[in-house]
Amino acid sequence: MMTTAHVVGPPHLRRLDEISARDARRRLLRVAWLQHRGACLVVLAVFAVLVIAIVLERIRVDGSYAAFVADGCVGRQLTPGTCNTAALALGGQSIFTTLGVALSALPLLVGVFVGAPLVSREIESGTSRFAWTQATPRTRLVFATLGVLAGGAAGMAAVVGLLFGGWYAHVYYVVLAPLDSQWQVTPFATTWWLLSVWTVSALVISALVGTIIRRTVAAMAATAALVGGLIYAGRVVLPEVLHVGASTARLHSAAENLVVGTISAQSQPGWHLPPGSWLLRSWMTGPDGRVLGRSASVHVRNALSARTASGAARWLAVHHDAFWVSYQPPSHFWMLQGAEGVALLAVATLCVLATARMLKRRAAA
Amino acid sequence: MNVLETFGLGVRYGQTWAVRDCTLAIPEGRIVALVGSNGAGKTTLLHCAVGLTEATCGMVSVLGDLPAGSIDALDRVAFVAQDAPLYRHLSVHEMVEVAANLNRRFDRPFAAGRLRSLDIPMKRRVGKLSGGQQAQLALTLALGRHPDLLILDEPLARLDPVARHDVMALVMTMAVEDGVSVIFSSHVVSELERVADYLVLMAQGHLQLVGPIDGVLAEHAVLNGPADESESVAEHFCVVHAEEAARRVQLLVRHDQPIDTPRGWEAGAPTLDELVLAYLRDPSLVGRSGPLAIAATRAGGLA
Repeated sequence: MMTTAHVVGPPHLRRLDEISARDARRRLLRVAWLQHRGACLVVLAVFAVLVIAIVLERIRVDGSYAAFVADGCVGRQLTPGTCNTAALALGGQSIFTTLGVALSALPLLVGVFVGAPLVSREIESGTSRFAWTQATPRTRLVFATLGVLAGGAAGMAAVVGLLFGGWYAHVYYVVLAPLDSQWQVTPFATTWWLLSVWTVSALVISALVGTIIRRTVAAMAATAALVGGLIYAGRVVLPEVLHVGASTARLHSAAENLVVGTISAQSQPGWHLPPGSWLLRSWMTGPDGRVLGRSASVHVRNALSARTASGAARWLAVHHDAFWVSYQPPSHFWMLQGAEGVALLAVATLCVLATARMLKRRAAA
Repeated sequence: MNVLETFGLGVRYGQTWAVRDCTLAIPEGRIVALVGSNGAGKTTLLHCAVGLTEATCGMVSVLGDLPAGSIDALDRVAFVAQDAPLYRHLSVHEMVEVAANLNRRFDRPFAAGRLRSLDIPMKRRVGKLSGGQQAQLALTLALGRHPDLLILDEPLARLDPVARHDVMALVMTMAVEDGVSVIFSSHVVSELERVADYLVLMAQGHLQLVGPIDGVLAEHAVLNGPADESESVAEHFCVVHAEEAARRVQLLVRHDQPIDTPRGWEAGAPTLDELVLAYLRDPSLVGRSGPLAIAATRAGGLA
C-alpha cells in the first residue's frame, strides 16, 4: 500500500514522499524504541532475573529429581525415610512461593512502570505537543508504542510462565506430594497464557489510567491501586469462578476430612475421577435424595471409615445413601484459562477503545 | 487560499472560555504576528490550528479547507510549541531521527547542516542543551519538514538577542524563498515589527484587531494637542487610547477616511508598538474579525 502527500521543498524530498506501509511500521518501531528503550531495558532486566531464578531452581529440582528416581521412589508410597526426604526436597515450597509471588506481581510492575507513564509522561512533560503535531496520527503513534511494549512484555511473560509452570507441573505429577496444584491460585494465574494476558491487560489498563490522569506519579499510584486490586480480586474470586462448568460425580466410597483441593493426591479406589481433578465441594444424600445434614453425614462417614472400598460401596448401596463431589476435571483447565483470558482481553480491548477516544478528544497539554 | 480560517471558534476549559467567537481568515504568504497579553488565548488558538485542542464550538481549517489536526494538514503544517518541548533523554541525532520517522518528508541534510552551523553537537543529550539551543533544535526540526505553514508559539522567549535576530532572518528567508506562511505569537512587539506583515491581536479570548500591518497602521493615527481640548476633539474620532502628560494629550484614533487635523493639533502615524500597546491596555476594545474589518466598540471619550 502506498501513501501520497503534497510535495513541497527541495527536489530530493520527493523521493521520501512515497512510503510503503511496511516502511511506515518500521519507522514507528524505531520511534517507539528511541522513546521507550529505558522502560524496555528495565523490563528486560526483570525478565532476565526471573529467568535466571527459575532456571537455577529448575537445576536444583532436576538434581533432586534425579536422586528421587535413583532411589526408586517413583510410584512408591512416600513414607518417612529416603523417599519422603527426596520428595520434600523436590517440593521447594519456599522458593516456589517466592517465584510465584514475583510472577504474580509482574503485570503490576509492567502496568505501573511502563503502562502508566506511557501517555501521562508525554502529556506532563509537554512532549505530546511535539509528537502529536507530526504527520503521524497520535493514536497510531501511541498504539504502535503500546503494541511494541505489549508484544515484548507478553512474550517475556509467556516465557517465564512456561518455564515456571512447566517445572511445577513436572514436579507435581511425578512426586504426587501434597503440593500446590495447577488449580490453586498462584499456579493458575502464572501459566504462560494467563500471565501474558494479565501483563498485556495491565499495560493497556494503566495506559488508559495515564491518559485520564495525565500526571505520571499520580497515574502510577492509581495504576498500582487499580491493577493491584484487580489482581487481588482475581485471586479472591477464582475459587468461585472454578465452579463454572464443574462436573458432578457419585462416588462409591468416602474419605475422612475431604477438603477442597486436588483429587489426584487423595484418590481412593472407587472414586473413578480423572487424576488431577480439582475438588470443589462434597456432600451426601440420603434415600430420599435430599442432602444430609452435618450430623447425618458424620454418621455415614463413620460407618464407611472402617470398611474397605468395596465394603463401603456395598454399605452405601444397602442404605441408599450416596456420596457426591463437584469437581473440575483436568480437561477443563485450559477451558477456564481461556475463559478468564478472553474476559481480560475484552476488558483490555475496551480500554484500548477508550484510550483512543480520549486521545482524539483531549487536549495535549 | 487562506492558511488559517476560523469561524465562530470557541474553546472552553470548565467554565472559562479561553477563546470565544473567533472568526478570522489569514491569507497565504504572510508572516503573521499573533499578539496578546498572557491568557489572551493565543496558545489555545494555535493549538486549535494544529489539532492539539478540540474546539468547543465553531470550526478551524488550515491551508484551504483541511481540517485542523488532520494528517493531511499536519503533513504540511509544522508547529513549534512554547518552551520547545523535546525528549530530553534523547541525543540531538536521535531527536532528528524521531522527527524524520514521524513525517513523510524530512530534510535530514538541511537539519544536520543547520545544527552544525549552530554548533549544536549531534551526540549531546537534548536535556544538556541550553534553552536557546533547545529552541533552535525545535525550530530546525520544524523547518526540516519544509512546511507550507509554520506555526511558532513564543519562539523567541528563550533566545538571546543574536539568536532572535538570526531566527527572524531565517523565518523571513523561508517565507520569501520557499513561500512558507508563518504564524508566530510573541510578546516582543519590536521584534515582530521587523518581520511581520500581518497582525492578529487578541485579548481575553477574543480578537481585537486583524489585518495587514500596513493597513491596520494606516487606519490609525496619533493626534497630539492641548489637554484641555481633548474632549471636544475626541468627540469627532473613534479614540482607542488617550495619554495625558504635561498639559498635552496624545490620542490614538481609528479612522476610515483621511483625517481632518484639528487646528493646533499634530497628526502622525503610530508605530506598531504604540498601536499594540494601546489595544492591549484595554481588552474591551473589540474589532470585527477579518482583514481590514475593524470596528472598535467604543467610540469617543477619553480612556
